[in-house]
Amino acid sequence: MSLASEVITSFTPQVIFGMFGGFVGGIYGINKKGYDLKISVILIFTAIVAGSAIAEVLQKKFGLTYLLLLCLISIPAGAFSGYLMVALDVVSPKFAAKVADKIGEKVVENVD
Amino acid sequence: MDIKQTLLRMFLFNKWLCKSESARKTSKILAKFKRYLAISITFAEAVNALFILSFSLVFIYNKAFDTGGLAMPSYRVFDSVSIWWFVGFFVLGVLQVIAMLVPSLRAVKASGLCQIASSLAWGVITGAYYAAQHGMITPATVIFSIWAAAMFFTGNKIIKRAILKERVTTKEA
Repeated sequence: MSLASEVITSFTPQVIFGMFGGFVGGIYGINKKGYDLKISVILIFTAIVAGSAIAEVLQKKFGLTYLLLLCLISIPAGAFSGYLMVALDVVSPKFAAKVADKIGEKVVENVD
Repeated sequence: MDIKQTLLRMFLFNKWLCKSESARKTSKILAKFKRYLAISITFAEAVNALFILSFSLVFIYNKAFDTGGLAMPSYRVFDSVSIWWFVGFFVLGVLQVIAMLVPSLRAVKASGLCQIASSLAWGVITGAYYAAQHGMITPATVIFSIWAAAMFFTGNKIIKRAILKERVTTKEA
């Protein structure tokens, strides 16, 4: 099986519903006023990947095929990914501030 | 006036009624303990930590000592699951306990994150049970799913409240 066909076949309905759940959770988890657009986009992308990963594990390991249930279960995974900046802040506040500042400076440079 | 407050004042704070040094010390310790409880521990955190530790310990015991696993079909799902998944779940419980006991804003945030992670884990357990029983709803699925939802919302609330508090304190400083 070639790589492209394997990638296409991995997008089962279960995984797609998991992605949707992760997206919803990511939007719920992101603290709206705290971060700028770039960080938010990265966090939402992570949330979508996490949601689909959970759906894939549940489907392949436990044989769960119910679509809406998978969507519901992957919401916390997305929310946790949405809080990744908070997690970084908990682990090392200095590094988190540095990351936020760096990305913010780049955005300001682009605007100028 | 509130009867409870009056009694407290009478017994602990009234200089004329109680002049001894030990009473003052007790009142100070009580006030400190009350503040510690208010900052650090919420009931949901304690119950969640207990649930995680006991649940994971049952499976770790059964897998480590080869007791053959639990015989019911809903528990047979976890036969193919490695012991390290449950060890990870146990570590999450320990982290939750540590975050619960440390009285700081950073630890409160960590505790909220632990709760969201545990909500995900309870969700996965619910899904596994549901799949194992071929879509039949049992008390276990109902209880675990409700607990997962509760942990999700309390975790979010704890983190958002901690962030708000941090903003207020940094603005004041």
